[in-house]
Amino acid sequence: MAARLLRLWALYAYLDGMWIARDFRSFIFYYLADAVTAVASVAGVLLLAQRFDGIPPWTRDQVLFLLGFGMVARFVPDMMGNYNVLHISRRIGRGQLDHILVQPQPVWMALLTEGFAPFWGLLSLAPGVGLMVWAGQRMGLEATPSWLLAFALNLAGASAALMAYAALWGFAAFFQPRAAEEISGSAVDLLTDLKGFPLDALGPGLRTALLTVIPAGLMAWYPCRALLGLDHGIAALWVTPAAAVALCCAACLMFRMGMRRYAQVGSSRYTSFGHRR
Amino acid sequence: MLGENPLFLLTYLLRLLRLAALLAVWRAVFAARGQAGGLDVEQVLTYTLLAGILAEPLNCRTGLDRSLWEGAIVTRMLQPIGLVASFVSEMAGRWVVGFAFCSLPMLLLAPWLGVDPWPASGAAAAWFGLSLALAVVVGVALDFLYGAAIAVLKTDIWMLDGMRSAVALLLSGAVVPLALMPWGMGRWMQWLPFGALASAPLQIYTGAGDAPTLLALQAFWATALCLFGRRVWRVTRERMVSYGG
Repeated sequence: MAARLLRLWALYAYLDGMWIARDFRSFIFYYLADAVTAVASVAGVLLLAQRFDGIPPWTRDQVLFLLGFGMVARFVPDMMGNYNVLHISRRIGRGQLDHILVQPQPVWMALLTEGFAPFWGLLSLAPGVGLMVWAGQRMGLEATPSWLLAFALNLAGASAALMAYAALWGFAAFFQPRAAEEISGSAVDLLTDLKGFPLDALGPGLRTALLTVIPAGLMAWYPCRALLGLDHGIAALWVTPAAAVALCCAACLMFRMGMRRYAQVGSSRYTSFGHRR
Repeated sequence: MLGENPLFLLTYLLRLLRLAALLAVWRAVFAARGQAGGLDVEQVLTYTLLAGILAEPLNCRTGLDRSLWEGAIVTRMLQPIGLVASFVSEMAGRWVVGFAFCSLPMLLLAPWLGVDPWPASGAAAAWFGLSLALAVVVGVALDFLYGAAIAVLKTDIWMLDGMRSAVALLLSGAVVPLALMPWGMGRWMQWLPFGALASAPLQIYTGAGDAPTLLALQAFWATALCLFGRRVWRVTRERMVSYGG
């Protein structure tokens, strides 16, 4: 099974590479647009941090690290969730789940591999990594093995939380294919638009909401607080990975419920009264 | 509009959350200082609140790009109404919905958010109306130039749209007032057409800028971009290719 997964990832990586490099103009355009978008989307907070030497209680370098972390955490779902895998509600709402169901492989394997596009958006990764490394060096961050492990766990947790949250909402399209067709996109926006903000100054109620109902704080703010020592205590390092696991479990549960419903009603897309006809 | 996007309330919730986060950031930044870049905390909070309330007019999107992508532009061109009038009237209709469901609640929440929503003076309010109208003209002209770029480049509009939105938000001063940009960047950025979109009306409203100078600059950009946009659009419309969704 692992070998098949690797073979499929290699295949989709090859296809992605071919697609990106199909002509020089597209190659330059996509990479340039991606890099500009990624940098511009966090530039507001970055410029503020530079102008005011940080956003209390965060120092300038800590804010830079947070921005870099958020960019990298956003890259992983983008890399794994192309072709509307991350925006799964579109596939379900449009009746395209049938395209997966007829394949001679499990649904989970198709979803885990079909959207793999490692070259797409690669240039949005570089500024994020650069910001983290630069800020880390300026802060004198000691990258001990235990810290690196905590970093990897929190980064994976942040990315998984975003994917699970998008899926959790996206599976609503099983029940309301027309109304919820775009719901994954809204869920992704809810989490990623606030990823660059230090949320410390928000009231406790809003902060709690941004860690639970709309867990935008898990994208960068909370894990970075734990990793940079703003939140003392070892437990803080486990919050993001634990929340990601909980969100993944909830998404799996929702998927099973949705599939049960799908088995009964199917998709109305191609029927004479289908909304996409 | 509601039928097209039943999730519009989530979009508005996001706008409200972003506003709350930005206000909190400004309070944290200004907690240790009285003024920065000639602005005090009250002005910055009002500036941010108004940028949130008027997010749609300050960042005009006529829907031309989507219409090109979906091919709906063809039927628009057959209608007995000018293309600009058609798109602008539809855009204004969308604003009414946005105003009712998002801007008005934001305005009503202003006291709860601890922000004074009133303009700096009566004169500022009057100049602001004119400035906002000019900002919309500049925004529509830029949107048609963007549409012309899509027609020429014949490329994926989603990628271009993401880049345009992020860059325009930053350069227009809708998120960070240009006066608060580091390294004196704001001094240069205010001369760009993007500065006429958000920074100028918001500065006038909060009494942070010289109204006659800002209005003159906006009028210049409105005239120049309308003339240029009209010419460019006339040439590029012949090269349009609709993608069909």
